Amino acid sequence: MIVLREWLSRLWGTFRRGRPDADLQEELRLHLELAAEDDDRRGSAPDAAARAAQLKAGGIAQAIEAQRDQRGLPWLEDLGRDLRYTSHTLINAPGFTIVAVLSLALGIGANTAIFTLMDAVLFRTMPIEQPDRLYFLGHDPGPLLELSSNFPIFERYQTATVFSGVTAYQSRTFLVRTSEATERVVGQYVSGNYHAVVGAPMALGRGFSSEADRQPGGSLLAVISHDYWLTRLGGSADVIGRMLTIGDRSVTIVGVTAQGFHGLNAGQRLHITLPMSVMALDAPRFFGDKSGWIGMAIVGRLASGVSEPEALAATDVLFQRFMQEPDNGWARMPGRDRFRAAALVPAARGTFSLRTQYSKPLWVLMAMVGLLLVIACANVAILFLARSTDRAGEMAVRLSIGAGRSRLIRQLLTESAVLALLGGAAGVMIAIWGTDAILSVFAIGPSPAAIDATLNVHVLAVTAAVVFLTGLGFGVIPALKSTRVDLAPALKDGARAIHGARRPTLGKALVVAQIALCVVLVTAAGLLAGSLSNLKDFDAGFSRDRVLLADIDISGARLSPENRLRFFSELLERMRGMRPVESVSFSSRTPIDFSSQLRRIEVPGFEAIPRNGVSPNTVTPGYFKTFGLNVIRGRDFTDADRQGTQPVAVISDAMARHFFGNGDPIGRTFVLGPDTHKTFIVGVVEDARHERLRSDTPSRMVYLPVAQITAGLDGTINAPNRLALSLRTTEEPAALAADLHREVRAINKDAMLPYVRTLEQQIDAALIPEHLLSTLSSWFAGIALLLACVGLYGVMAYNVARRTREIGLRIALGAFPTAILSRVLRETFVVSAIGVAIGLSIALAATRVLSTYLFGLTPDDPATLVGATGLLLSVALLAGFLPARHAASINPVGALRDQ
Amino acid sequence: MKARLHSIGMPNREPERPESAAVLQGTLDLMVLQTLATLGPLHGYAVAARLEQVSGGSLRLNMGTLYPGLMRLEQRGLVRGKWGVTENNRRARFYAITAAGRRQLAAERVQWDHTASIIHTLLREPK
Repeated sequence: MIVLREWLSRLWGTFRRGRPDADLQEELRLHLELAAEDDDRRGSAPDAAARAAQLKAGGIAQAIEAQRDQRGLPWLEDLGRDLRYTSHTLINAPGFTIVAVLSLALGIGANTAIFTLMDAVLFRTMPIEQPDRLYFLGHDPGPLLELSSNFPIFERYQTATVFSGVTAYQSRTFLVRTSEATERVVGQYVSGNYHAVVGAPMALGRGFSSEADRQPGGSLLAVISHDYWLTRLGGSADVIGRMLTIGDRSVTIVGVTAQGFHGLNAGQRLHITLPMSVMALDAPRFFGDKSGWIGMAIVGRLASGVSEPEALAATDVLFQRFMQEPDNGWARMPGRDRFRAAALVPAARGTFSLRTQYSKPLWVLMAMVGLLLVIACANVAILFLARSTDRAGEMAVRLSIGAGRSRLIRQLLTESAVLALLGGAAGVMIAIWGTDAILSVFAIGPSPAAIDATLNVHVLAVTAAVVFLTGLGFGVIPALKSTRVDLAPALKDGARAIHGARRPTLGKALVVAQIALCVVLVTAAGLLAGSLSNLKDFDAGFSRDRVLLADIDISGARLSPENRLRFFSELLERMRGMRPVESVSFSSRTPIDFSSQLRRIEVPGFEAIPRNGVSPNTVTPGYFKTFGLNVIRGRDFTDADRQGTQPVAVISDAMARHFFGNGDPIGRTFVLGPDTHKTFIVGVVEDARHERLRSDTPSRMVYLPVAQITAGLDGTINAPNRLALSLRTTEEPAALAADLHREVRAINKDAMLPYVRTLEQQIDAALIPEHLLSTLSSWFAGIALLLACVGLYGVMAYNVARRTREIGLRIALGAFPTAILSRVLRETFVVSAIGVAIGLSIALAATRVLSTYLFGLTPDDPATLVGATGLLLSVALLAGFLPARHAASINPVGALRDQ
Repeated sequence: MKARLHSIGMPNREPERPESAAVLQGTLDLMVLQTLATLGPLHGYAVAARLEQVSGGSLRLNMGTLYPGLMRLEQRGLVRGKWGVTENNRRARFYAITAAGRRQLAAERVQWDHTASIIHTLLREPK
């Protein structure tokens, strides 16, 4: 308490609120007078008495100084003085300040932006109670790890005592009807204990608590998200008890989850949650469905005191028992390498697919921005070094009149700290803008990953640490170096001292490092950009340009199967009539649409195992024409292939070769599971990378006519509610989107077009990691190049300034300016060539980690390496040219007279 | 002691204190408080003279020790300084002990007696 009071008082005193110096002086003077009088009284001579008193009591100056120290907080006063001094020096050298702050801002901004993404995608935990106690109950650990389960196994798991609660959810897209329109909303069906087990935070009302799952229609309730409440329901306080129409049912809203809670599927914006008992109204059989996994995710919260291995052991016992149940024969099919063991997956950060997909690209980018920051720091260090020549005289004067070296270093470090802070503040601005720009790369595709990349305390803490480290990083060495001044010559020659013995090796070393790191970044960027363009240009079998794709969803229109087919054929007719349309077709899948299917097929002579599986697509006549696939043998589909006629199929070349070798497949038959009827092959079509651009072998595709899709044994029509429309046009395809919307609505106003895009856009959506890496690495390489240029320029300019007299002398003695020019350029070239050589060897080793993202070139692609070398050297020479020209134009008279 | 040098425009503060400070730190506060408690308000020189007298001339306080010490006591609220006039009609700053100062003195005296008795016992222990 008492000490706190002293510190407050001293803090007060720091701001000149304590006793003034005159007051202190008067007190001390009295002390000396009284002391002298006392001595006088004892008989000394007045002069001697005063001197003795002074000797005994110490000097006034020292006492005042000690009192000043006690009055305020000296370090705080020094800091204030350093800050004032720093602001003067920085303002007086605006060029230096701007370049330094910008360098740091770019470095720190890039780091903050990437770390923001990493935090959002990889590190942040869900806003739920005790997230680290929540686990997904999946199966098949290792590369086959999957979270998809079904209701029966969920019921078995619920008996486990190692969990305080086990719950399940099934993601769905809900059709929400309002008086104006029908909207597709991300939702889920959950077991009645979901909110309690997950520990979901609520903003209003309640979550589900004990609604029974096996009670169809027993609880027509809904919980909505905070976002949905604000954007669709106006955020009104009386939302609890309001009704929502979802599909054909009305449900009552009982709760709103807190802001930031979006379920456990990472990257998804969950808005509406319904109890599983509502799902049972439409699919009553799913409770007992043991015919496979249906995509239900199961989560459990560990009971207190139970460790993860204990819980896993108990879960696995239940899993094994379940898989041995008699009607789970599918799990023991030959050729299956699955369903071996249960797996517990931490659920604190939600599902892992987004993390798996982006973890490596983000780490690669983090490494890149790390290098960028090193380059930026080197830049500022170079600027400091260059400036220390200018300030050598100033430092010498200070040191010679007694300033402590530690005091001067503190002053210089204050300067670097201020620069780092300014750079950090500007960097955060850049990061806010940059994160948005980066997120726009993610925001494509049918269900763009929702990433909440806002700045938060974690990110700012990391940025602060980075700022602190950079401040030290670029500040310490120059500070140590510039305060080690050889006083005599520095004072004599002032700022233009010639340190003959001290060559600027440190600056050159920094530039070499900068250029080397720059080469690494430029090479990586070149490889990634090259791969992306290879991926975009490579012939995947289908033609990519001028195709518009649109998902057409008519589930909201509630049409009979016949009317659905009628709807689709009417739309085909209307679109076919439009002028720029070359060909138009429907299909259940389109190339590179994220779908992946493998169906069991029975072909005489082949085992029906996954290794022999095929990938199906149902199409209308015209599909092959739309995508530029030629029919190699037999025929295309026609309108005559419809319900009631012979079931037919067109197969891909890869499938034909797999099953029939060089024989003729036309007229052969197969049975495609789960159907039981025989299908005749009528044609063979060219191969295409239908599922993945990067696959080495094209998938074995089997195409079936839409009009022949039947439902099981009775052969009734099972027309789909949702198909993808493909339009090949003669003009820019995106221009047709408005017409398409109009025509669809004209036929049926309840039809929806949830996703309209060009084929190019669809392919881009499949290449998000590649886009992300390529775009960002190009930016970073560009920034690195710019920074390295500034660094090189700084060092060469400093070098020329340092040697002004020498160069002047040379010119005076008859050296040609061109000789001076080429001399400086040669020096630049040597420095950059060393940097490039070191950089190339690092790049060769480092770019191996990129190989998963490369396509059509290897990490040691010669063209890229040569390109990077050429780019770096030419940019370096450009940066070196200005100082060289300056050197050549030095006026010998002026240069020599100034000395 | 190293010579103090001042650079232009920038104070040169080395983290050093007069040597005697180290010896007296802690006990100086106690002595000053006790002096003020027994003799009433005194100016700085009177405090120094009293301490020198009591110690038989062996305790000579440097101004650079005494006055920062008084300032610290004042900042801690243990004494209060006020300008006044001496018996010879000179302006002087008089220091008076405060209520908090008396409490602190009592507490420190107990502490000191305790420590001293331990040391005393220890040193008188038969070898």
